[in-house]
Amino acid sequence: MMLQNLIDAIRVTGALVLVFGAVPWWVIRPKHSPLGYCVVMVRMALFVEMSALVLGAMHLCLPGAMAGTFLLFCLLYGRVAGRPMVYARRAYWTVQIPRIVSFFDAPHAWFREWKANWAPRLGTSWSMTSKGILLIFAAAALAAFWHPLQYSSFLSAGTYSRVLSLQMLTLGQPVTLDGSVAWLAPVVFLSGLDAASVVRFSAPLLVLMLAAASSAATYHFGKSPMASIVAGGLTFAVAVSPLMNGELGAGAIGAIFWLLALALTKSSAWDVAWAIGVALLIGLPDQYTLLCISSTLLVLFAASLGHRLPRLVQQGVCTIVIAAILAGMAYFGFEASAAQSP
Amino acid sequence: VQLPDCLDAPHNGTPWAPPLSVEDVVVRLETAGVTDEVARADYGFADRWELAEYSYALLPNRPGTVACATKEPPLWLEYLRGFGFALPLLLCTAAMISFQYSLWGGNVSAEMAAAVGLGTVTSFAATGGIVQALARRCLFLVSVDQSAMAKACCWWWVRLGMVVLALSAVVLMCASRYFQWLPPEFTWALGAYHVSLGLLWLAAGILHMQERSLWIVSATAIGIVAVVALHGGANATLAFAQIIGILLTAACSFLSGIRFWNVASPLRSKAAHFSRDLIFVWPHFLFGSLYYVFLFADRLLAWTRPDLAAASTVVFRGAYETALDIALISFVLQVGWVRYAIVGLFRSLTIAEKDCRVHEPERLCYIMRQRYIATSLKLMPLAAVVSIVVYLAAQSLRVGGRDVEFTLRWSLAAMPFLVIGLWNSNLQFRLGCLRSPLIALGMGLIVDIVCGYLFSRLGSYKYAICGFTIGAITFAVLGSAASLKVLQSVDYFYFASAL
Repeated sequence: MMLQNLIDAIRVTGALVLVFGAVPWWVIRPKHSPLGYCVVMVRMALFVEMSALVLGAMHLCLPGAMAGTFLLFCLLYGRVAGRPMVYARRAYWTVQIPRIVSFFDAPHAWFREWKANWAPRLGTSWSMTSKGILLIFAAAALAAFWHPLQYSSFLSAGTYSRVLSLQMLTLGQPVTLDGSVAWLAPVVFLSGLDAASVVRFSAPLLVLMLAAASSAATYHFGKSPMASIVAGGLTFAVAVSPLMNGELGAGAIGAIFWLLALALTKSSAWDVAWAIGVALLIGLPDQYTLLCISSTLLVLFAASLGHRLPRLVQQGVCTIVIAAILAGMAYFGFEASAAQSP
Repeated sequence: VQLPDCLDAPHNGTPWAPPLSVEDVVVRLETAGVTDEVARADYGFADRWELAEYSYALLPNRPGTVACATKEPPLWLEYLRGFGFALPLLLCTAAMISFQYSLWGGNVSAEMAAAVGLGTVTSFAATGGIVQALARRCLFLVSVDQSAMAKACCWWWVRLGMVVLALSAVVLMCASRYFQWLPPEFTWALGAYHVSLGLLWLAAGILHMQERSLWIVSATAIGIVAVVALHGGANATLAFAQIIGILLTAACSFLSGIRFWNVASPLRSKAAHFSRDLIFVWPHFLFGSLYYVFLFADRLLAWTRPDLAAASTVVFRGAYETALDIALISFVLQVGWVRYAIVGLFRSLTIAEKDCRVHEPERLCYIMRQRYIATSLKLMPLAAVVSIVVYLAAQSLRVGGRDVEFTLRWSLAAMPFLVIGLWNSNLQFRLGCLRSPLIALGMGLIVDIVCGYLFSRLGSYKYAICGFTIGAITFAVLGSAASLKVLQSVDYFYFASAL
């Protein structure tokens, strides 16, 4: 059962990454920076949310219609941005057909070339900071996935109604549209799982996204990696605490985009507008939205106060706060598991 | 003195005429490499002019050789050949009526029917392009007397087809499990039907290219007998018996193909790579693949309409399939006309080319456009008669209910347009226009999918057929427009296609 859950979690994660990461990254091609990732996320989320809601209103939120609009978006976006799809160009195929021919002529040589191209990219060395961030992220992901990997039940009644809404939406049935789950429709189609599994395994990913958005917003204003890690950790701790149980509602999911809007304020006014638009489509701000945003702002405020402290003191405070957050997360995680166990 | 061989009439019956003048003889000698030195050393003349004068005195008395006028087969025979591919289908239909099952299909569970249907559709899509490319390339090599090369090329494409089938079967089965298209226990059936039917289409493609339709009928008969023996006699499951029968038919067809190739060219050609052929035949490859996707897209749309009561995503729709099978009879009877029309039009082109002087290309184009329009209009009465007869026959036999009748009407309406689209594509390919048929078919496919999807999702599954009909109309209209454009410069395209 645990293995099946793990496979399902991988399917949902893969689908989320593909829909909101890989494909839009390939289409939008922003600059390689944290803000670039934010831009990709916001634009794609806005498109998916709007198309899912419009198609859902017509009872057409089905795999084919969603795939069609997704493809249309990619084509139109590429054309508007001055990068029409390469596959539609004759010159592209003039180059590709001889390459295909060379593959059939000597497959071994083709694989050798592919290996030679990819080996250096895969062998890139990682800095200590990157390794540390990756380790913290892995620990946070483990903590967030701890409950969904073991239990199929949800911790709040609101999540059940969201699951029902998503299931009805993706079957093309009449349903009251819920903006907090509509954007997960392509994940349901691509993962091949039911709405319950998608909501269950996307919840920890949304918690991680909330923490990442909080980090991005803090880094954008404070320019301090330590402050951004603390802000991300604090927001994460709030999200998995008994207040929210790791299951984000409409307000908390909306907070992801409010924080992204904050992060994008200095880069693009349009993207800020898109982020606010997505947040409002997902749901009106509630107490959880305020809680998540205020935790970020609190760290920002503290960072601005502690800016004049010696670096050693700053690092010491940050280490203590991160340790406290991790301990708190572990405690809350086990508490939740104990409450669920028969 | 013995005259040079180049001045004699060839022994193989090639046309030959006596020389018109001494200069003509000199040209013939020079072409054969008889220089002044050769004339002096081999024939004892001072130079080639002296040899020519001597020869010219003898040659005008010799009779010329006229090319044997090959009698062209009548056009009605071309029509019959045009639907020769359908004979195995007719045999399968007869088996279905007699035994309630055939080489594939029959009275099986809904899930198995979905697996068989999906396997059949995907096998066509996977091999359609390969068969087209194979036929195009091999027929070209045969036309330039390179039978040994054609044989090697054929088997290279067949090997490629087998690899594609194996890979696509694995992908298909994985996708079916992942997206739960079918219940897990039917995944193997999907893969087995996909591979076995794909092999059969490859083998049948070779025999069709060699114009051996009756051999395919024989192989099909052997397969059906095997199915009857295994299922009816040995009580094997129908799916198992059918897969064995299909593989047996494919094996018999492959063996016949090998035999015919060996008769055509006993030489053993070196194993060679024909991947470079892709540069020349990719439009045919793409056309073949798109064509089968076009033919089956509406079925896939109808089968995948969300059904809350269904156990899996793909639901086989018996009523829809029945109507399309009946409409297929109408299509088969009409599609023979394509060959008839193509052969007739090119015969007209040959005659018109001789009638028109070299400075009258506009007249040639005008004549050919008129012939094209007249030939296209000839399909109308045939299509009307065939469609009405098929519809009335289905009515009198009381096949199916209202869903069948609705689907049948729309599909019968689509068939003449599909035939017109095919006729235009064939004509354009023959004239060396490779892009326009792809555009027409591609646009038809997009219209088919978009309309069929919207109609079937907003209404009932049976409305998917409306998308097919609108797509076929788009294919026919765009194809006709492209053909008329090509025929505006038919002199150029006819010359270019001959190169």
